[in-house]
Amino acid sequence: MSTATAHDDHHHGAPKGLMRWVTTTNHKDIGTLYLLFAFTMLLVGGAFAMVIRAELFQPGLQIVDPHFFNSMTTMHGLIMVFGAIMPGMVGLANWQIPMMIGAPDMALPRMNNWSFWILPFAGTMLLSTFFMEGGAPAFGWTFYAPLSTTFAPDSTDFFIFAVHMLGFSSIMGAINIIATVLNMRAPGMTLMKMPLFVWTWFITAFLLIAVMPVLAGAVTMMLTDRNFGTSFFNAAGGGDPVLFQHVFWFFGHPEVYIMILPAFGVISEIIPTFARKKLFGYSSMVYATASIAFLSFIVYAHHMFTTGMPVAGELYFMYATVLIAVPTAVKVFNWTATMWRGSMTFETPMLWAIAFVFLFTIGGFTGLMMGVAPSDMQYHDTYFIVAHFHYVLVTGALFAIIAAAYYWLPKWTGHMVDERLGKIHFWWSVISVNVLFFPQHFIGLAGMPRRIPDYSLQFADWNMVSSIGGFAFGLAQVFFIYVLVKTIRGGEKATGQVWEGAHGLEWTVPSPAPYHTFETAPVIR
Amino acid sequence: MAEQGNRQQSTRMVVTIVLLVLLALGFFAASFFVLT
Repeated sequence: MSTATAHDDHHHGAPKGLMRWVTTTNHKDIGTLYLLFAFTMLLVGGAFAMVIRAELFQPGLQIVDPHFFNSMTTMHGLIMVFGAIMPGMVGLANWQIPMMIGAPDMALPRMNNWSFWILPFAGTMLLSTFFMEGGAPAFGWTFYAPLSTTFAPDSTDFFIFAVHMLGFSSIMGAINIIATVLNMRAPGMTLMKMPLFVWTWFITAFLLIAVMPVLAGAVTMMLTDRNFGTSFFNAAGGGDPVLFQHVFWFFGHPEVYIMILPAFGVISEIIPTFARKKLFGYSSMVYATASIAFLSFIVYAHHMFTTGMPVAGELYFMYATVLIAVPTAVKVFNWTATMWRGSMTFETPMLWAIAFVFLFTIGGFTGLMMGVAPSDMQYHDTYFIVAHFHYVLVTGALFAIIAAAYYWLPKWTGHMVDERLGKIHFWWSVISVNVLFFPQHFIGLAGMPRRIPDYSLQFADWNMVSSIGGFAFGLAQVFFIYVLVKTIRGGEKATGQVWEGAHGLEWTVPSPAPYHTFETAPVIR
Repeated sequence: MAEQGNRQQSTRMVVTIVLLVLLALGFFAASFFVLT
């Protein structure tokens, strides 16, 4: 691993040994740590998903008991959201943002180290709940009260502390990104010249600062309800369990955009490179990103259509939700228009990016279906929802992270990825992921509820298909480990430019990127 | 950083960070105030 980023340069190279990673303040090292952590958590969360799919392979209870099944769905969601996707995106931000804006490092390098090193402890604390009396939390990743307060296992307090720590890490990371973008840009790098990846992360960081404290508020209220006799969410004490959902989804909906906006940024970098054209509609991309971020705050109660809110509330949240389709469509249109009449080639990163555009759009469209209040009454809490958000988060956010890895690995490691292996990984994943999630639309529309270990016989066939797709997709990611290790250890030497159509400051430095870049700021004209 | 930095820039940095921390604290506090 250390060979991936340890390079000599005229100043000094990376320190040697374990302490390099513990004490590092280098944005590239910290980016690597984030990415390794995210990938590890992806495998852990993926293993939980395999347990879920194995249990659902056939109707009836076969492998695990229902409480453990609920723990699996809960921990799968929490680990994937907070452990895999978010740190994965932060890892990309750490590696790329300073290089893309011509800065020598992040603005607050020591805090950057702290932001990362909180994560393994929080993740371990979360996972340790499996070994506690009463088992791990089993109330779903949304931890609705009173299931997470009055009726939850004792280990929930450890879950609460883990969420506090994860949130603290995210807030520090977001402050760091905003401070870096606002203060560390190279001369001439005006805001409207910044690469789209930087823009999307800049906007995402504001979302993080606004909503992670609200999540902290929600779990703090849970903590005091559980241990100090308060009744925020306890109807018997004058509180209101539905209030929890309001507070949670004020965080939860923007959280979705926290995971997907940086993905939009990645795709907006990759498509122009392999279409050999400038990104179509740069400024409209920036404004669309900002619009999506703003709208994400005022639509959250579409997650709560079935709680019995007034019709006027349902109408407002329905219209506001559907409005998000407009800036999102601007983006999909711009990516398509960028490809239009471009000199396209289909290297591995481009394949993942194009798959993103198609499959994320499927997730977007099913989102529209659920945004319509009367039809959501049908879909609510069914497998249709599960299919929807996995199209958004797996073929959306995760595919973008994988695309980014294939795109920037030559810059990080100095080695080109074996195209043949990359393409095998791509086709294996893209076929299996659709076998996995597409049938879940059918069983959801047919009425199968989510978060259940057993189901009626009529859902059996498609569940079996879905599980087969799940195992294949899981295996494809194990294959990805092989591709990654092979690329880190060797392969065709990468040039500084790497991709023929690549533009931007990160491609002006050698590959692998030196330990310190842009100590003297480049001038952008 | 050292080469690039000057007093004006570090003041701007501190102001940025203080404002962002206040924003985060504000949202934390607000999550409780929605209750009343």
